[in-house]
Amino acid sequence: MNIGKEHEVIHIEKPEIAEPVRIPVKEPVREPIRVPVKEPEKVGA
Amino acid sequence: MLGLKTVNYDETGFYSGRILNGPTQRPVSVTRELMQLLEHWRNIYSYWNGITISAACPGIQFWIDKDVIPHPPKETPYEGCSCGIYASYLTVHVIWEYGRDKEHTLSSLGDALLLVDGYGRVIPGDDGFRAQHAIAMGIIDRATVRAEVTYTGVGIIAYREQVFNPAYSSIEYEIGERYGLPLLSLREAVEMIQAEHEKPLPEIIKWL
Repeated sequence: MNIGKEHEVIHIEKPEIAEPVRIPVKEPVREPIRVPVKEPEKVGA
Repeated sequence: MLGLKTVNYDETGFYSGRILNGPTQRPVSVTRELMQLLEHWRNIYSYWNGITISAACPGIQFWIDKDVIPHPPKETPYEGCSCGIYASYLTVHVIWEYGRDKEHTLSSLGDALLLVDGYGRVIPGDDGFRAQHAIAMGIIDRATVRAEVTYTGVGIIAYREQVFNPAYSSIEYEIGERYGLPLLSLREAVEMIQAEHEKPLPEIIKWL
C-alpha cells in the first residue's frame, strides 16, 4: 500500500479506549440426532 | 490518526501477514508460506493482540528486500524503511486490496475491512499513514461497500463499482460480537477520516 508523499514523524498518544473484553464466539446450536427406536418384536401368540 | 485497513480473520482472531497469527504461529503449506514470506516478509514483524496491532521492524536488510534500511527496532516506522502498520485514508486503496486479497486468503471465513486509529510513532503521508501501533475502532459492513471512486491524485486512475458478496457479511457481525466493535458503513468511516483532515482527500466517491 502506497501512502503517498511521506511527512515528518509524529508521536501520537494511545487513544483512551477501553479494550473490550474478548467474547468467545457462540457455537452454533446443534439439534440432537434422533435415532428411531425399533419396537421389540412380539414373541409368541 | 484514522485510516482504513484490511485484515485477515479466522476463528483464532485477527491475523495479518499470513504467517504469524498474533502470538501463535500458524504453520501451513511451506511452499506457499515461503513465497508469501518473501513477498510480505515485513508483515511478520507485526502482530495482533486483541484489537491492537503493533509493528517492530528488525531493521535488518535481507538480501532480497532493498526497501529496508537498518535502524533500531524501536524506531518503527522508520523514514526510508518500508516498515510499520499501514493504513489508508482512501477507499480506492483498500477496495482494490480487499478484492485482491479475497483470492489469496488462507482463511475460510474471509477478510474484513477495519477503521483503525494509528498511534505511537507515526509517519503521515498524503494518502495514508504507517504507524507503530493501531487499534481497531470499527468494522466496515461490506454490504455498504458499494461506490464508484475516482482518485484525483494523478487524474482518473481508478473507477470501479465494487459490490461484495453479501454472503460474507456474517463475518463482520461475528467480529463485532467477539471484540465489541461497532459495525460502520464505509461512508461513516470515510467521513470520520475526512473530519481529521483540513483539505479534502484526493478521491471523489459517488455512493451507490
